[in-house]
Amino acid sequence: MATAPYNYSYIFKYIIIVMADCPHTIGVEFGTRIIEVSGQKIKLQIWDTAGQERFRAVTRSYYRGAAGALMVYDITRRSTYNHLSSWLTDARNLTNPNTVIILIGNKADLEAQRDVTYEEAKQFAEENGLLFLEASAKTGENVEDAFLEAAKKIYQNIQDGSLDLNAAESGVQHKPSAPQGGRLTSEPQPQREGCGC
Amino acid sequence: MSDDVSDGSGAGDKAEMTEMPNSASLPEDTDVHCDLATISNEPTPVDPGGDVLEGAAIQDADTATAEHPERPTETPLNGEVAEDTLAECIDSVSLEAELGSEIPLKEQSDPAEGSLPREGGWAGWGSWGKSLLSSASATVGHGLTAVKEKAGATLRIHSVNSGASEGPQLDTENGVPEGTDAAPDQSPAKSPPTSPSPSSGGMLSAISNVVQNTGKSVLTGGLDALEFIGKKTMNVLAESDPGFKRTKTLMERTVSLSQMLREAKEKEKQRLAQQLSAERTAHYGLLFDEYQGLSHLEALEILSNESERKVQSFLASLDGEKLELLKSDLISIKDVFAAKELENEENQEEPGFEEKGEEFASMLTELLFELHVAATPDKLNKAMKKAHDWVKEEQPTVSVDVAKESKGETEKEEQEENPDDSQEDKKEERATKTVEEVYLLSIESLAEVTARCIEQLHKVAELILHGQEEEKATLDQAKVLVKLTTAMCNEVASLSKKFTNSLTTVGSNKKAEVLNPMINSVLLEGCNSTTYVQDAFQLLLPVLQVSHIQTSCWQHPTSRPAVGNHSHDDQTRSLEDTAGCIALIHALEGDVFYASLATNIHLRTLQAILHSVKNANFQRVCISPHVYVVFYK
Repeated sequence: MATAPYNYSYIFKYIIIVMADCPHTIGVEFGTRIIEVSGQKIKLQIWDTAGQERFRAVTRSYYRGAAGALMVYDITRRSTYNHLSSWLTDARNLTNPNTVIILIGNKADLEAQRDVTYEEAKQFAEENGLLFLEASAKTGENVEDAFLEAAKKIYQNIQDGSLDLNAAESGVQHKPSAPQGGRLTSEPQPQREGCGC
Repeated sequence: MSDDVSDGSGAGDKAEMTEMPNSASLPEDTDVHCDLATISNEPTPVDPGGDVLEGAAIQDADTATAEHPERPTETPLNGEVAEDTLAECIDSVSLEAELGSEIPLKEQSDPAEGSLPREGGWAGWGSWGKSLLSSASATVGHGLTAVKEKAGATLRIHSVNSGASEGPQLDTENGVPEGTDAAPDQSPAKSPPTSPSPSSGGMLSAISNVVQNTGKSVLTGGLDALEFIGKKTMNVLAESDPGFKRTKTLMERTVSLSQMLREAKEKEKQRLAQQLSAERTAHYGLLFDEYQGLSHLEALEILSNESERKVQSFLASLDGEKLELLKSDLISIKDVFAAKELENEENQEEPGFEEKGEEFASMLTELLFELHVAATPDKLNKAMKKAHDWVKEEQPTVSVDVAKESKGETEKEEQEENPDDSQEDKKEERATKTVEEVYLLSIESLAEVTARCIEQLHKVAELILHGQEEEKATLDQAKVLVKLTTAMCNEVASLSKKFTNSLTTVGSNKKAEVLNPMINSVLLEGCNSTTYVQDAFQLLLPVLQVSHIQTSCWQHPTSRPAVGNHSHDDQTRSLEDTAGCIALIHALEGDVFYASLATNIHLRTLQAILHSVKNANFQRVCISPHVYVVFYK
C-alpha cells in the first residue's frame, strides 16, 4: 500500500490504438500515468484499445473525447503499417479536430527485421499532420517520450487557446483549485504496446 | 436465488415464446417496406431522435388509455400485448429523462458522498467527467436511504454480537432525543449512529463527509436565510440526508445555528487539511478510481448510451406491428432487469447468504459460460480471493470452517501461489495487524472488488456487443446477468460483513468511539459498492436490447453475416450474400454510418454499396437521409 500523495493540474484522456491482432486485450484496458510538462503535473488516463479487428466497432466508441491518440504499428510487420490510413480515418472522424495524434513505430529494437522504413513512416506522418516516433516497448526506448510529446502538444494547444477546455469532449480536465490528495497506482500498468505480437 | 429469478420473470418467458415466431418471420414480411416507405414522406424521421419517438409513444399511450381506461394492465393476452406495452414503453423511452431528473439531486449530495471525490470537485470541467459523475452515483438518492436502513439494521446485529459496541450505540441514540422527536419518520434504529467524536476525523470517510460538506454548501448557500428558517428546517433536511444527523447532534450543543455552521465549516477545512497530510487515510473513492473502477464505469456508460441511441433510432424507423413486437421484446428484457432489483433486496435480508460466497469463483465462471461470452473472470476472482484470504486470517475463532473453505478454494484456483507459504506469511502479518490496518484493508478490498466487478460487467458488455462467438437468446442472457449481478452483490455484502466482524474481533479492546466509525464506514462503503455494481448492471440494459435487435431483426436466422474482418469490398459482398436479409443501415452521427453488417461505412461507401445492391436485384428504400432499408427481391 504505497501511498504517495501527488497533485496534478490536468487529466488528459489518451487512446492507444494498436495495429496488431493482439489477442490479449478485450475491448479496452486502462492505465494511468503521471507526467510533467512545463512544471505542470498531468495525469494521463490511458484507454488502451484492442487491436483485434472484431473489436473495432466497440473500440471506436471510446475514441470520442480523447485529447491524444497514439497509433501504434509494428515496424517489423508491414501489414500493421498498411492498416494505418483506415484507422486514421476512424480516429479523425471520431475525435475532435484538436486531438493530437502521434504515430508510433513499435519494436524499434528489432532493426534487423525492419519492414517499414523510418523515412516513409515519417513522411506519412507529416502528410497527415501526425507526430511521429519510433519506440520499443520491450526496451522502453522512447515510450515515455511518446506520452510526453503528445502531452506537450496538447498542453501547447491549451496555452495558445486552440484547445477549449470548456468545450465538450476536449479530453482534458483542468483542476484549477487547491491540490488534492491522491495515490499513485500501486499496480504497475502493463505496457500494451509491448504485447509480443 | 436462481429459482426466484426464473419465477419472477416467468411472464416475460411466455411473452418471448409467443412472439418469437413473429420476429423470426420478420424478413419475409413484405408489408414492412410499404410501412417504412410511408414514413419517408413524413418530416419527422429526418431526425430519428429520442424526442420524436418519445412524443409519439406518449401520444399513443394517451390514446390507448383513453380508449381503455379500465382495462387492467396485468393481462398480457396476445391480442392486447400491443396496447399494454405502449404504456410501458414510455418507461423505457423516457428512461434517460428519469435519470436526468435525478442529476440535480446527485450534484447536491455527491460531493458529500465522498466516494467520488475527484469528480465532485471537478463537476462542470469536462463533459466526460461530469457524465461519469452522474452515472457513478446514479442512485445516490435511494442509495443513501438504503445505506441508512442497512447500516441501522446491521448495526443492531453488531450490538448483539459484540458487547463493546452496544453501550455507546445506545448512548448516541439517547443523545439525540430532540432530533428524533422533531423528525418522527427518522426512527433511531434506522439512522446510523454516527459518533461526533473529533478523533474519528479522517477515518470517518463518508458519513462525516456528508455532514461537513452539507454544512459547507449550506453555508455558501445563504447563512442568514437559513438562520432565519431555523432548526426545524434542519430536521427536515436531515431526513433526506442521514449524515446530517451529526450536524444535528452538534446543534444540540451550540446555541446559535450560525455558530454551528461555522464550526462545521472549520471542521471540514481541518479535515481536508488533515487528509492531505494523512497518507494512510482510506479513501474508497480514490482507491476505486485507482483500480480503474471509474474508467470501466465510464466506458460502460459510453457503450450504454450509444446502445440506447441505437435502440431509439431503430424504434423510430419501425412502424405498426413490427414496432409493437419489438417493443414488447425490449420490454420483456427490461422487466428482467427491473425484477432483479426486487429480488436482490430480498436476498440482502437473507441471513445465510454469506456461506454462498465461497462458491463465488466457480459460480462466476459458470455464469459467464452460460452467457456465451468469452469473458474470463480471472481478475475478479483474484481480487475476491485476496480479500477473503486476508480476512480469514483475521478470524481465528472460526478457523475450522475457514480451513475447509480455503482448501476448497485453493483447489479451484490452481494458478495461485503455494497456499501454505502465503498462509504462513499472513499469519505473521496477522500478529502485527492493528485495527487501523484491518480498516484500511477492508476499504481497499471493497474498492478493488467493486472495481473488478464493474470491469467484469464492462467486458461482458463489450463482448455482447461485438465479440460474441455464438448467439444466445437475449432474454436468457438477461436472466443470467441478473444472477451474475446478484452473485456479485451478495459477495460484496458478505465481504463487508466479514470485514466488520474482523474489525470487531481485532478491535475488541478499543473504545467504541474509535471502532464504531470504522465499522460504520465499512458498512457504508459496502452498500455503496453494491449500489455501484447494480448501477453498472442497469447500464447493460440498452446493450442487451441492441444486441436483441441485432440478432432478431438485422439478421437472417440462417445466414449470419460475419462482423468485422472485412474490408469495404467484403462488406459489400456480405451484404449481397445475405439473401433474404433485411439490412438496416443506421446513421448515428454526422457522416459516420453504422450497419449491422459493416463496422465502418461512410456516406460514399454506403452509396456505392446501395448502388451495387440495386443492380443485384436488391431494392433500396430510403426512409430518411440517414436510414436506409435494403430488401432482397
